[in-house]
Amino acid sequence: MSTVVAPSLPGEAGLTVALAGQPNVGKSTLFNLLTGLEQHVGNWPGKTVEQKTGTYRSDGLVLHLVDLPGIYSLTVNSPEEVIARDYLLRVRPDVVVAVVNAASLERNLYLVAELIPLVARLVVAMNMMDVAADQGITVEPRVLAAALGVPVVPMSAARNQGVHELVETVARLARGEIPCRPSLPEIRQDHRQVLAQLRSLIAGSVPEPYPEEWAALKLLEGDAEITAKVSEHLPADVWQQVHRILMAHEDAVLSVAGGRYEWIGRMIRAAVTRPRAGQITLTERLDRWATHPVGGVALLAGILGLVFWLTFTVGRPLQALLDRAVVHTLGNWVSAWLSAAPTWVRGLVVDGIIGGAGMVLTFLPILAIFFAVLALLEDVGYMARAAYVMDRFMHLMGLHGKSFLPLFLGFGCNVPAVMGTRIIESRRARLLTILLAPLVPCAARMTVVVFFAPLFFGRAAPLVAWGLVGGSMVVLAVAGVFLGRWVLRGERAAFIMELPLYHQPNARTIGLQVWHNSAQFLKKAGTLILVMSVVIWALSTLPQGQIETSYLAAIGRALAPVGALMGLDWKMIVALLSSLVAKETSLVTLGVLFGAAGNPGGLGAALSTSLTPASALAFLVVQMLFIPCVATVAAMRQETGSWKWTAFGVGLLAALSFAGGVVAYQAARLF
Amino acid sequence: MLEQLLRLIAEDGVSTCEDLARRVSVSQPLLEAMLEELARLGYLRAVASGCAGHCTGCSMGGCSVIGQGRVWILTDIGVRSVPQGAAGAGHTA
Repeated sequence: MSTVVAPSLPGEAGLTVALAGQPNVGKSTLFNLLTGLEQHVGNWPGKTVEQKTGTYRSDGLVLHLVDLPGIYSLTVNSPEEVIARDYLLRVRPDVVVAVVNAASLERNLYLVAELIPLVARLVVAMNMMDVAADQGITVEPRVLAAALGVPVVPMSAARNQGVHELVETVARLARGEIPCRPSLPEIRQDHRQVLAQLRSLIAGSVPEPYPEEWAALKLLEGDAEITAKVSEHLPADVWQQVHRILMAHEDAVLSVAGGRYEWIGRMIRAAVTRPRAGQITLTERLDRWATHPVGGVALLAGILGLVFWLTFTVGRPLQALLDRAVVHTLGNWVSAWLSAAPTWVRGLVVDGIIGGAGMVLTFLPILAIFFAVLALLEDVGYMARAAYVMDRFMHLMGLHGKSFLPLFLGFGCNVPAVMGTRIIESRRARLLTILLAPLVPCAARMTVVVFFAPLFFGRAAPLVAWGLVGGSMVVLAVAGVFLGRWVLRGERAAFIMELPLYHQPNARTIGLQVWHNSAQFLKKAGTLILVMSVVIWALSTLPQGQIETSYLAAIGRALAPVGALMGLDWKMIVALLSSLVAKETSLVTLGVLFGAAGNPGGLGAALSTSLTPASALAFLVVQMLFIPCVATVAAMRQETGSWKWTAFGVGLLAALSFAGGVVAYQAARLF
Repeated sequence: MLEQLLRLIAEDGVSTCEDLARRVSVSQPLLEAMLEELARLGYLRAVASGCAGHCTGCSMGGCSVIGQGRVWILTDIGVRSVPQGAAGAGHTA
């Protein structure tokens, strides 16, 4: 509820001038320049908002200045807007100066569009002309003045330029020496008739100080304060009619605000020229490819292929070198050092810790390449384009638009993908996205792919890795379409992305991100993976000290018939099961079960002699589609709030991965 | 003009500011101001990009793969304001 908030002004005769404008447009600088030491700072009556008044004197001209709080519009959304609107309506200053930022007229003219119908004498002080010039923006004050129908004074308050001209314009306007024919924003034809209808209904019943035309417009906009005031003063039957009209035209607010933006657009087109060189042109040129519905997807697929190629040609040899030089050498050295220790101690340290957690550490070069490429693509501004083209692609397949954003996060880790579904309002759409999120191959799954593919597929490894990612996406899309028929009938969704300008990557930013992510991985290797290495080693040793008779072997053998359909022996099945803890754990398990630390060729050599390419492919397919890690399952439970849906998701993924593994193995055997 | 913009947003499913600005014939800064206005009126909602705040417990560390730039989504009011299947057949501003 607003109150009368007229500031106290000196008794001396002069003009009352209010300075209105958005925050940070240089309004206070202008006020200080004009008033100097003759200013008073207090609070607006009954408010905690600062009130500044002051006096300007020069050559017999006296201006009593009021610095209104910074506001974006005259809709009473904030205490500042309540104060400014009340002041303008009740005090009716002789002249209102709308201070605008010349470099950002698109945002600043909205307030001018609201002031023009309300204020009798308005001057636009176009401040920050120097900032606009620095940005290459050209604004023609005369053209703008002609288009607005009110005087426009170009100025740079920070440089004390144009202040004298502003004072002169204010004085001349008050004396009636400058003709004003303001151009008013218009609204849609049908709403114009509604406005006229409202105006005739409220005529004579609008309380002071609200002008009738303005009050009718605010009613149409749904302004709460004006609605309350008018309803208090109108006879009940007339108010009922007004209310009915307003209910039938709830969308009129869009028409009124839209009319203002159309008006702003006309002003901008008339008076503002923005630069179209350098960075912007480069961005537009690159985006013709990067955001093209077909070309953009092809480019993304190409970039993905390049990442795999880079990983295999640079990361994989480094990993193999670390595996041989560090894990194997360290394993031998520690084994010799512990020769006098009990067998179980040697087994725990060499086979469990070094063979498991130590082996996973050798993947750091591969992950560092992933992290670096991801950080580079993000830093140059490409990642937003990738999200954009993939979303269009998924739309074509009938998938929900809003779902893509969280799904894309899944390439890093499935946990934030599931958590990220919170941006989706519709419960059914959220549920579908949560169920699909684990099908996005996370970086941990990709580590397993990057390790396996070159061992079994040689030069075709990048193609296999690329196909596995593409295949996962196809399964995700098919599952999405299938589930969508049951879960998401007829829903529409839309979103808009602000694509940042492309720019040169910053080595420090990328370096910091790689360092941060690598440190996170090392921390995990030193905690969860280390513990898992010990647990898996214990399960593979107990109770008789032999792998073949261990608890782990018993579990694996129980599931062997299932594995046989996919060409996987019990060790591979156990590795898959252990990936439920964390996806990299399957490599830990294989490291322990195949005795990576004791093998001169490392785990790679041990695996390549034990598995056929068809079995390896089946293993990778299952790994890509399998039940996610426990952290993701916990996130699914938290976000769905239902054990039933969590179980459904887990069951769906288990079935999909099993079917995928069987199909991949049986198909690969044909070649 | 805002009605036209809302219709285009709903029709396209996913759009960029650049596309929309071209289609409504306004500059990109004005388009952004219009999006902010639609958000103030409750038709759109700006959502945080990336996975801010959700990285705790993430096994692979950071994952802000969407990069900078805001993402706007249609709210339920926004969806309701555009008749289903009537994109392109609405009123003229």
